[in-house]
Amino acid sequence: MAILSELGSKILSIFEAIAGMDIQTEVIPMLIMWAIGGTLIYLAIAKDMEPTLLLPMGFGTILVNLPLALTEGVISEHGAIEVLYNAGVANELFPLLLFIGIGAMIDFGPLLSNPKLMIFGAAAQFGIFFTLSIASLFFPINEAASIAIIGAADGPTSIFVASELGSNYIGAIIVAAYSYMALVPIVQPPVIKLLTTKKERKIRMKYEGKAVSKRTRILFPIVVSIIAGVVSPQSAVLIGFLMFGNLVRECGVLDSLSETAQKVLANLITILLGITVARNMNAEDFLTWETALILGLGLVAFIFDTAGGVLFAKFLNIFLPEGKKFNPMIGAAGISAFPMSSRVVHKLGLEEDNQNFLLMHATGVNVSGQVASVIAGGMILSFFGQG
Amino acid sequence: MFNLLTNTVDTTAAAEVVAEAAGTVQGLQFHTSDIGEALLCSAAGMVGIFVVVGIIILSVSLLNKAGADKK
Repeated sequence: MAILSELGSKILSIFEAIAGMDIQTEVIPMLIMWAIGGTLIYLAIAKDMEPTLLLPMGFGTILVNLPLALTEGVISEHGAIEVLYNAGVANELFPLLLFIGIGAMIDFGPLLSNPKLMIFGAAAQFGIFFTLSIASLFFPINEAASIAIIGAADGPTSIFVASELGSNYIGAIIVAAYSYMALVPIVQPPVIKLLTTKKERKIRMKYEGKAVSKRTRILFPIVVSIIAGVVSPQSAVLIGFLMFGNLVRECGVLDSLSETAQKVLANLITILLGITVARNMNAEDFLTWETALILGLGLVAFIFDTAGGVLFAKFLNIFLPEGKKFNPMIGAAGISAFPMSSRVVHKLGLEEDNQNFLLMHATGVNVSGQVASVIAGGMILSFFGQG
Repeated sequence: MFNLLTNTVDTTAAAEVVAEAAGTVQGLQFHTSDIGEALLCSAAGMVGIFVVVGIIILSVSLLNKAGADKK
Protein backbone atom coordinates (compact mmCIF):
# COMPACT_ATOMS: atom_id res chain seq x y z
CA MET A 1 0.00 0.00 0.00
CA ALA A 2 2.85 2.31 0.87
CA ILE A 3 4.47 1.50 -2.47
CA LEU A 4 1.27 2.36 -4.34
CA SER A 5 0.98 5.59 -2.45
CA GLU A 6 4.59 6.49 -3.25
CA LEU A 7 4.05 5.64 -6.91
CA GLY A 8 0.88 7.74 -6.97
CA SER A 9 2.64 10.76 -5.52
CA LYS A 10 5.52 10.30 -7.95
CA ILE A 11 3.15 10.25 -10.94
CA LEU A 12 1.34 13.26 -9.52
CA SER A 13 4.59 15.19 -9.20
CA ILE A 14 5.46 14.37 -12.82
CA PHE A 15 2.08 15.66 -14.01
CA GLU A 16 2.55 18.77 -11.89
CA ALA A 17 5.98 19.34 -13.45
CA ILE A 18 4.56 18.89 -16.99
CA ALA A 19 1.65 21.20 -16.20
CA GLY A 20 4.11 23.75 -14.87
CA MET A 21 6.14 23.85 -18.11
CA ASP A 22 6.58 27.32 -19.53
CA ILE A 23 4.94 27.52 -22.94
CA GLN A 24 7.44 29.86 -24.57
CA THR A 25 10.69 28.45 -23.24
CA GLU A 26 9.81 24.79 -22.82
CA VAL A 27 6.69 23.64 -24.65
CA ILE A 28 7.24 25.41 -28.01
CA PRO A 29 10.93 24.36 -28.29
CA MET A 30 9.87 20.80 -27.40
CA LEU A 31 7.24 20.82 -30.15
CA ILE A 32 9.74 22.25 -32.65
CA MET A 33 12.18 19.44 -31.83
CA TRP A 34 9.42 16.87 -32.28
CA ALA A 35 8.78 18.43 -35.70
CA ILE A 36 12.49 18.23 -36.52
CA GLY A 37 12.57 14.60 -35.40
CA GLY A 38 9.48 13.92 -37.50
CA THR A 39 11.08 15.62 -40.49
CA LEU A 40 14.20 13.45 -40.18
CA ILE A 41 12.01 10.33 -40.04
CA TYR A 42 10.00 11.59 -43.05
CA LEU A 43 13.16 12.28 -45.08
CA ALA A 44 14.49 8.84 -44.20
CA ILE A 45 11.33 6.96 -45.13
CA ALA A 46 9.74 9.03 -47.89
CA LYS A 47 12.86 10.43 -49.56
CA ASP A 48 15.27 7.58 -48.76
CA MET A 49 17.83 10.09 -47.47
CA GLU A 50 20.47 8.25 -45.40
CA PRO A 51 17.65 6.26 -43.74
CA THR A 52 19.98 4.08 -41.69
CA LEU A 53 21.04 7.07 -39.65
CA LEU A 54 18.37 9.72 -40.08
CA LEU A 55 15.55 7.43 -38.96
CA PRO A 56 17.11 6.39 -35.61
CA MET A 57 18.29 9.95 -35.14
CA GLY A 58 14.83 11.38 -35.82
CA PHE A 59 13.25 8.99 -33.38
CA GLY A 60 15.96 9.71 -30.83
CA THR A 61 15.31 13.43 -31.26
CA ILE A 62 11.69 12.90 -30.24
CA LEU A 63 12.73 10.68 -27.32
CA VAL A 64 15.22 13.13 -25.84
CA ASN A 65 12.70 15.97 -26.12
CA LEU A 66 9.93 14.28 -24.21
CA PRO A 67 8.84 16.20 -21.11
CA LEU A 68 11.27 15.70 -18.25
CA ALA A 69 13.68 13.70 -20.44
CA LEU A 70 16.56 15.48 -18.79
CA THR A 71 15.58 14.78 -15.20
CA GLU A 72 13.53 11.61 -15.30
CA GLY A 73 13.88 10.09 -18.74
CA VAL A 74 16.23 8.80 -21.40
CA ILE A 75 18.96 11.42 -21.01
CA SER A 76 18.95 11.68 -17.24
CA GLU A 77 22.18 10.61 -15.58
CA HIS A 78 21.34 6.91 -15.70
CA GLY A 79 18.96 7.09 -18.67
CA ALA A 80 19.41 4.58 -21.48
CA ILE A 81 20.60 7.07 -24.09
CA GLU A 82 23.02 8.72 -21.68
CA VAL A 83 24.48 5.32 -20.82
CA LEU A 84 24.83 4.43 -24.52
CA TYR A 85 26.33 7.85 -25.26
CA ASN A 86 28.99 7.43 -22.62
CA ALA A 87 29.64 3.84 -23.71
CA GLY A 88 29.98 4.49 -27.43
CA VAL A 89 30.10 8.10 -28.55
CA ALA A 90 31.87 10.02 -25.78
CA ASN A 91 34.77 7.55 -25.96
CA GLU A 92 34.54 7.34 -29.80
CA LEU A 93 34.04 3.56 -29.76
CA PHE A 94 30.98 3.42 -32.06
CA PRO A 95 32.50 5.40 -34.96
CA LEU A 96 35.62 3.26 -34.79
CA LEU A 97 33.65 0.00 -34.83
CA LEU A 98 31.62 1.38 -37.72
CA PHE A 99 34.86 2.01 -39.56
CA ILE A 100 35.66 -1.72 -39.42
CA GLY A 101 32.38 -2.37 -41.20
CA ILE A 102 32.98 0.38 -43.76
CA GLY A 103 36.50 -0.89 -44.41
CA ALA A 104 35.08 -4.36 -45.02
CA MET A 105 32.58 -2.91 -47.51
CA ILE A 106 35.04 -0.91 -49.62
CA ASP A 107 36.65 -2.38 -52.70
CA PHE A 108 39.85 -0.40 -53.22
CA GLY A 109 40.39 -2.14 -56.58
CA PRO A 110 39.61 0.90 -58.80
CA LEU A 111 42.03 2.97 -56.72
CA LEU A 112 44.76 0.35 -56.70
CA SER A 113 44.59 -0.12 -60.45
CA ASN A 114 45.07 3.63 -60.99
CA PRO A 115 46.69 5.04 -57.82
CA LYS A 116 47.37 8.50 -59.25
CA LEU A 117 43.64 9.20 -58.99
CA MET A 118 44.13 9.41 -55.26
CA ILE A 119 45.52 12.92 -55.65
CA PHE A 120 41.96 14.12 -56.29
CA GLY A 121 40.89 12.65 -52.98
CA ALA A 122 43.44 14.93 -51.34
CA ALA A 123 42.38 18.00 -53.33
CA ALA A 124 38.71 17.50 -52.48
CA GLN A 125 39.42 17.96 -48.78
CA PHE A 126 39.89 21.67 -49.47
CA GLY A 127 36.39 22.40 -48.21
CA ILE A 128 37.36 21.22 -44.71
CA PHE A 129 40.16 23.71 -44.39
CA PHE A 130 38.33 26.54 -46.14
CA THR A 131 35.44 26.05 -43.72
CA LEU A 132 37.85 25.96 -40.79
CA SER A 133 38.99 29.48 -41.71
CA ILE A 134 35.44 30.79 -42.13
CA ALA A 135 34.13 29.07 -38.98
CA SER A 136 37.00 30.50 -36.93
CA LEU A 137 35.44 33.94 -37.47
CA PHE A 138 32.39 32.91 -35.42
CA PHE A 139 33.45 30.07 -33.15
CA PRO A 140 36.42 29.26 -30.91
CA ILE A 141 39.11 27.52 -32.96
CA ASN A 142 38.41 24.02 -31.56
CA GLU A 143 34.70 24.33 -32.35
CA ALA A 144 35.59 25.70 -35.80
CA ALA A 145 37.72 22.60 -36.42
CA SER A 146 34.88 20.31 -35.29
CA ILE A 147 32.48 22.09 -37.65
CA ALA A 148 34.95 22.06 -40.53
CA ILE A 149 35.15 18.27 -40.40
CA ILE A 150 31.58 18.15 -41.77
CA GLY A 151 33.46 18.61 -45.05
CA ALA A 152 34.95 15.14 -44.60
CA ALA A 153 31.53 13.98 -45.87
CA ASP A 154 31.98 11.00 -43.64
CA GLY A 155 29.75 10.44 -40.60
CA PRO A 156 32.06 8.37 -38.40
CA THR A 157 34.99 10.74 -39.00
CA SER A 158 32.81 13.74 -38.11
CA ILE A 159 31.57 12.05 -34.94
CA PHE A 160 35.06 10.90 -33.95
CA VAL A 161 36.75 14.26 -34.49
CA ALA A 162 33.95 16.33 -32.94
CA SER A 163 33.88 14.05 -29.88
CA GLU A 164 37.65 14.06 -29.56
CA LEU A 165 37.69 17.87 -29.71
CA GLY A 166 34.94 18.04 -27.08
CA SER A 167 32.54 19.95 -29.32
CA ASN A 168 29.36 21.37 -27.81
CA TYR A 169 27.66 21.21 -31.22
CA ILE A 170 28.02 17.52 -31.99
CA GLY A 171 24.28 17.10 -32.68
CA ALA A 172 24.20 19.87 -35.27
CA ILE A 173 27.47 18.67 -36.80
CA ILE A 174 26.17 15.14 -37.29
CA VAL A 175 22.83 16.30 -38.68
CA ALA A 176 24.68 18.56 -41.13
CA ALA A 177 27.17 15.84 -42.13
CA TYR A 178 24.57 13.18 -42.85
CA SER A 179 22.06 15.56 -44.40
CA TYR A 180 24.54 16.94 -46.91
CA MET A 181 25.83 13.44 -47.68
CA ALA A 182 22.29 12.55 -48.60
CA LEU A 183 22.01 15.78 -50.59
CA VAL A 184 25.16 15.18 -52.66
CA PRO A 185 23.09 14.60 -55.84
CA ILE A 186 21.56 18.04 -55.32
CA VAL A 187 24.58 19.97 -54.01
CA GLN A 188 27.31 18.80 -56.39
CA PRO A 189 25.88 19.13 -59.94
CA PRO A 190 25.40 22.93 -59.92
CA VAL A 191 28.90 23.46 -58.51
CA ILE A 192 30.43 21.11 -61.09
CA LYS A 193 28.55 22.76 -63.95
CA LEU A 194 29.48 26.22 -62.74
CA LEU A 195 33.19 25.38 -62.73
CA THR A 196 33.44 23.38 -65.96
CA THR A 197 32.71 24.04 -69.61
CA LYS A 198 30.61 21.73 -71.75
CA LYS A 199 33.77 20.75 -73.61
CA GLU A 200 35.52 19.79 -70.37
CA ARG A 201 32.55 17.73 -69.23
CA LYS A 202 32.76 15.80 -72.49
CA ILE A 203 36.39 14.76 -72.02
CA ARG A 204 36.61 11.00 -72.30
CA MET A 205 39.06 9.06 -70.18
CA LYS A 206 40.39 5.72 -71.24
CA TYR A 207 39.89 3.05 -68.61
CA GLU A 208 42.68 0.55 -68.36
CA GLY A 209 41.25 -2.04 -66.04
CA LYS A 210 44.58 -3.32 -64.80
CA ALA A 211 44.34 -6.44 -62.70
CA VAL A 212 45.40 -5.92 -59.09
CA SER A 213 47.29 -8.75 -57.48
CA LYS A 214 45.97 -10.30 -54.30
CA ARG A 215 49.25 -9.46 -52.61
CA THR A 216 48.75 -5.76 -53.39
CA ARG A 217 45.20 -5.89 -52.06
CA ILE A 218 46.41 -7.47 -48.81
CA LEU A 219 49.44 -5.23 -48.38
CA PHE A 220 47.54 -2.00 -49.18
CA PRO A 221 45.66 -1.71 -45.86
CA ILE A 222 48.78 -2.61 -43.89
CA VAL A 223 51.00 -0.15 -45.76
CA VAL A 224 48.46 2.69 -45.55
CA SER A 225 48.03 2.15 -41.80
CA ILE A 226 51.79 2.29 -41.29
CA ILE A 227 52.21 5.40 -43.45
CA ALA A 228 49.33 7.22 -41.77
CA GLY A 229 50.57 6.16 -38.34
CA VAL A 230 54.09 7.41 -38.99
CA VAL A 231 53.32 10.62 -40.89
CA SER A 232 50.09 11.59 -39.14
CA PRO A 233 49.89 9.68 -35.83
CA GLN A 234 46.54 11.24 -34.88
CA SER A 235 44.90 9.58 -37.88
CA ALA A 236 46.36 6.16 -37.04
CA VAL A 237 43.37 4.94 -35.07
CA LEU A 238 40.84 6.08 -37.69
CA ILE A 239 42.81 4.75 -40.66
CA GLY A 240 43.79 1.67 -38.67
CA PHE A 241 40.22 0.55 -37.99
CA LEU A 242 39.15 1.33 -41.58
CA MET A 243 42.08 -0.61 -42.97
CA PHE A 244 41.62 -3.49 -40.52
CA GLY A 245 38.11 -3.94 -41.90
CA ASN A 246 39.53 -3.89 -45.42
CA LEU A 247 42.22 -6.42 -44.54
CA VAL A 248 39.54 -8.76 -43.16
CA ARG A 249 37.76 -8.39 -46.51
CA GLU A 250 40.79 -8.91 -48.72
CA CYS A 251 42.72 -11.58 -46.84
CA GLY A 252 40.53 -14.30 -48.29
CA VAL A 253 40.48 -16.49 -45.20
CA LEU A 254 37.99 -14.52 -43.09
CA ASP A 255 34.95 -14.41 -45.35
CA SER A 256 32.61 -15.06 -42.45
CA LEU A 257 34.11 -12.22 -40.38
CA SER A 258 34.10 -9.94 -43.41
CA GLU A 259 30.43 -10.62 -43.99
CA THR A 260 29.67 -10.05 -40.30
CA ALA A 261 31.60 -6.77 -40.30
CA GLN A 262 29.86 -5.55 -43.46
CA LYS A 263 26.37 -6.45 -42.35
CA VAL A 264 25.81 -7.33 -38.70
CA LEU A 265 28.46 -5.12 -37.09
CA ALA A 266 27.82 -2.10 -39.34
CA ASN A 267 24.05 -2.38 -38.93
CA LEU A 268 24.19 -2.88 -35.18
CA ILE A 269 26.49 0.08 -34.62
CA THR A 270 24.47 2.25 -37.00
CA ILE A 271 21.28 1.57 -35.05
CA LEU A 272 22.93 2.41 -31.73
CA LEU A 273 24.87 5.36 -33.13
CA GLY A 274 21.83 6.96 -34.71
CA ILE A 275 19.69 6.91 -31.63
CA THR A 276 22.58 7.77 -29.33
CA VAL A 277 23.86 10.87 -31.12
CA ALA A 278 20.34 12.25 -30.75
CA ARG A 279 21.30 12.82 -27.12
CA ASN A 280 22.71 16.15 -28.27
CA MET A 281 19.50 17.07 -30.05
CA ASN A 282 17.67 18.46 -27.05
CA ALA A 283 15.93 21.76 -27.67
CA GLU A 284 18.15 23.81 -25.39
CA ASP A 285 21.33 22.85 -27.26
CA PHE A 286 19.92 22.55 -30.76
CA LEU A 287 17.56 25.49 -31.25
CA THR A 288 20.23 28.15 -31.46
CA TRP A 289 21.65 30.49 -34.07
CA GLU A 290 24.85 28.48 -33.84
CA THR A 291 23.02 25.44 -35.23
CA ALA A 292 21.75 27.46 -38.19
CA LEU A 293 25.25 28.74 -38.84
CA ILE A 294 26.71 25.22 -38.57
CA LEU A 295 24.21 23.95 -41.15
CA GLY A 296 25.28 26.82 -43.43
CA LEU A 297 28.96 26.12 -42.88
CA GLY A 298 28.38 22.44 -43.66
CA LEU A 299 27.02 23.44 -47.04
CA VAL A 300 30.04 25.69 -47.59
CA ALA A 301 32.31 22.73 -46.77
CA PHE A 302 30.61 20.45 -49.31
CA ILE A 303 30.62 23.14 -52.02
CA PHE A 304 34.30 23.91 -51.57
CA ASP A 305 35.22 20.22 -51.37
CA THR A 306 33.61 19.79 -54.76
CA ALA A 307 35.22 22.95 -56.10
CA GLY A 308 38.64 21.90 -54.76
CA GLY A 309 38.54 18.58 -56.61
CA VAL A 310 37.24 20.03 -59.88
CA LEU A 311 39.63 23.00 -59.93
CA PHE A 312 42.60 20.78 -59.11
CA ALA A 313 41.79 18.55 -62.08
CA LYS A 314 41.52 21.65 -64.30
CA PHE A 315 44.87 22.81 -62.96
CA LEU A 316 46.52 19.47 -63.79
CA ASN A 317 44.98 19.57 -67.27
CA ILE A 318 47.01 22.70 -68.04
CA PHE A 319 50.15 20.55 -68.04
CA LEU A 320 48.70 17.47 -69.72
CA PRO A 321 48.61 16.82 -73.49
CA GLU A 322 45.35 16.20 -75.37
CA GLY A 323 44.21 12.63 -74.92
CA LYS A 324 45.74 12.45 -71.44
CA LYS A 325 43.59 15.12 -69.83
CA PHE A 326 41.32 14.34 -66.91
CA ASN A 327 37.62 14.98 -67.07
CA PRO A 328 37.56 17.60 -64.29
CA MET A 329 34.25 16.30 -63.02
CA ILE A 330 35.98 13.27 -61.50
CA GLY A 331 37.71 15.63 -59.07
CA ALA A 332 34.33 16.25 -57.47
CA ALA A 333 34.11 12.56 -56.55
CA GLY A 334 37.05 13.10 -54.19
CA ILE A 335 34.64 13.85 -51.37
CA SER A 336 34.09 10.84 -49.23
CA ALA A 337 30.34 10.45 -49.79
CA PHE A 338 30.52 6.95 -51.25
CA PRO A 339 29.09 5.89 -53.67
CA MET A 340 26.74 8.83 -54.29
CA SER A 341 29.42 11.20 -55.47
CA SER A 342 30.86 8.83 -58.10
CA ARG A 343 27.34 8.13 -59.36
CA VAL A 344 26.65 11.86 -59.66
CA VAL A 345 29.80 12.36 -61.74
CA HIS A 346 29.01 9.35 -63.91
CA LYS A 347 25.49 10.61 -64.52
CA LEU A 348 26.68 14.11 -65.42
CA GLY A 349 29.16 12.58 -67.86
CA LEU A 350 26.40 10.60 -69.56
CA GLU A 351 24.21 13.72 -69.76
CA GLU A 352 26.85 15.43 -71.90
CA ASP A 353 27.88 12.39 -73.92
CA ASN A 354 25.95 9.15 -73.66
CA GLN A 355 29.08 7.15 -74.48
CA ASN A 356 31.27 8.73 -71.81
CA PHE A 357 31.55 6.25 -68.96
CA LEU A 358 33.31 7.83 -66.00
CA LEU A 359 32.08 5.48 -63.29
CA MET A 360 35.27 3.50 -62.73
CA HIS A 361 37.46 6.61 -62.64
CA ALA A 362 35.01 8.37 -60.36
CA THR A 363 34.79 5.32 -58.10
CA GLY A 364 38.59 5.24 -57.79
CA VAL A 365 38.58 8.91 -56.81
CA ASN A 366 35.62 8.37 -54.48
CA VAL A 367 37.29 5.60 -52.45
CA SER A 368 40.48 7.63 -52.30
CA GLY A 369 38.35 10.43 -50.87
CA GLN A 370 37.34 8.03 -48.11
CA VAL A 371 40.99 7.53 -47.17
CA ALA A 372 41.91 11.20 -47.64
CA SER A 373 39.01 12.42 -45.51
CA VAL A 374 40.17 10.22 -42.64
CA ILE A 375 43.69 11.58 -43.04
CA ALA A 376 42.22 15.09 -42.99
CA GLY A 377 40.43 14.20 -39.74
CA GLY A 378 43.78 13.08 -38.34
CA MET A 379 45.36 16.36 -39.45
CA ILE A 380 42.63 18.34 -37.69
CA LEU A 381 43.18 16.29 -34.53
CA SER A 382 46.95 16.73 -34.70
CA PHE A 383 46.46 20.52 -34.84
CA PHE A 384 43.69 20.93 -32.31
CA GLY A 385 43.48 17.71 -30.30
CA GLN A 386 44.57 17.63 -26.70
CA GLY A 387 47.20 15.02 -27.42
CA MET B 1 37.43 47.30 -17.09
CA PHE B 2 38.46 48.00 -13.51
CA ASN B 3 41.08 45.61 -12.20
CA LEU B 4 40.64 45.04 -8.45
CA LEU B 5 44.17 43.74 -7.99
CA THR B 6 46.01 46.64 -9.59
CA ASN B 7 43.43 49.39 -9.04
CA THR B 8 43.73 50.31 -12.72
CA VAL B 9 41.33 50.53 -15.60
CA ASP B 10 42.06 48.02 -18.33
CA THR B 11 41.04 49.90 -21.45
CA THR B 12 42.02 47.04 -23.74
CA ALA B 13 39.65 44.66 -22.03
CA ALA B 14 36.92 47.30 -22.06
CA ALA B 15 37.46 47.85 -25.77
CA GLU B 16 37.26 44.08 -26.34
CA VAL B 17 33.95 43.93 -24.49
CA VAL B 18 32.54 46.78 -26.61
CA ALA B 19 33.81 45.16 -29.80
CA GLU B 20 32.41 41.78 -28.79
CA ALA B 21 29.04 43.33 -28.02
CA ALA B 22 29.01 45.07 -31.39
CA GLY B 23 29.73 41.82 -33.21
CA THR B 24 27.31 39.68 -31.24
CA VAL B 25 24.14 38.37 -32.80
CA GLN B 26 22.04 36.18 -30.53
CA GLY B 27 25.10 34.58 -28.92
CA LEU B 28 27.21 34.45 -32.07
CA GLN B 29 30.37 36.50 -31.97
CA PHE B 30 32.24 37.68 -35.01
CA HIS B 31 35.92 37.80 -34.19
CA THR B 32 39.16 37.69 -36.12
CA SER B 33 41.47 36.60 -33.33
CA ASP B 34 41.75 32.99 -34.57
CA ILE B 35 41.82 33.57 -38.32
CA GLY B 36 45.63 33.65 -38.49
CA GLU B 37 45.96 30.30 -36.76
CA ALA B 38 43.11 28.86 -38.83
CA LEU B 39 44.69 29.93 -42.13
CA LEU B 40 48.05 28.55 -41.07
CA CYS B 41 46.54 25.22 -40.03
CA SER B 42 44.52 25.10 -43.26
CA ALA B 43 47.64 25.56 -45.36
CA ALA B 44 49.58 23.04 -43.29
CA GLY B 45 46.66 20.60 -43.41
CA MET B 46 46.36 20.67 -47.20
CA VAL B 47 50.13 20.28 -47.59
CA GLY B 48 50.05 17.43 -45.05
CA ILE B 49 47.28 15.58 -46.88
CA PHE B 50 49.08 15.87 -50.21
CA VAL B 51 52.29 14.59 -48.61
CA VAL B 52 50.58 11.56 -47.01
CA VAL B 53 48.59 10.82 -50.16
CA GLY B 54 51.74 11.24 -52.27
CA ILE B 55 53.54 8.65 -50.14
CA ILE B 56 50.56 6.28 -50.41
CA ILE B 57 50.46 6.70 -54.22
CA LEU B 58 54.17 5.95 -54.40
CA SER B 59 53.77 2.89 -52.18
CA VAL B 60 50.82 1.54 -54.19
CA SER B 61 52.73 2.08 -57.43
CA LEU B 62 55.65 0.12 -56.00
CA LEU B 63 53.30 -2.63 -54.80
CA ASN B 64 51.72 -2.83 -58.24
CA LYS B 65 55.12 -2.91 -59.89
CA ALA B 66 56.29 -5.66 -57.54
CA GLY B 67 53.08 -7.58 -58.26
CA ALA B 68 53.60 -7.20 -62.01
CA ASP B 69 57.26 -8.27 -61.77
CA LYS B 70 56.19 -11.38 -59.92
CA LYS B 71 53.93 -12.33 -62.83
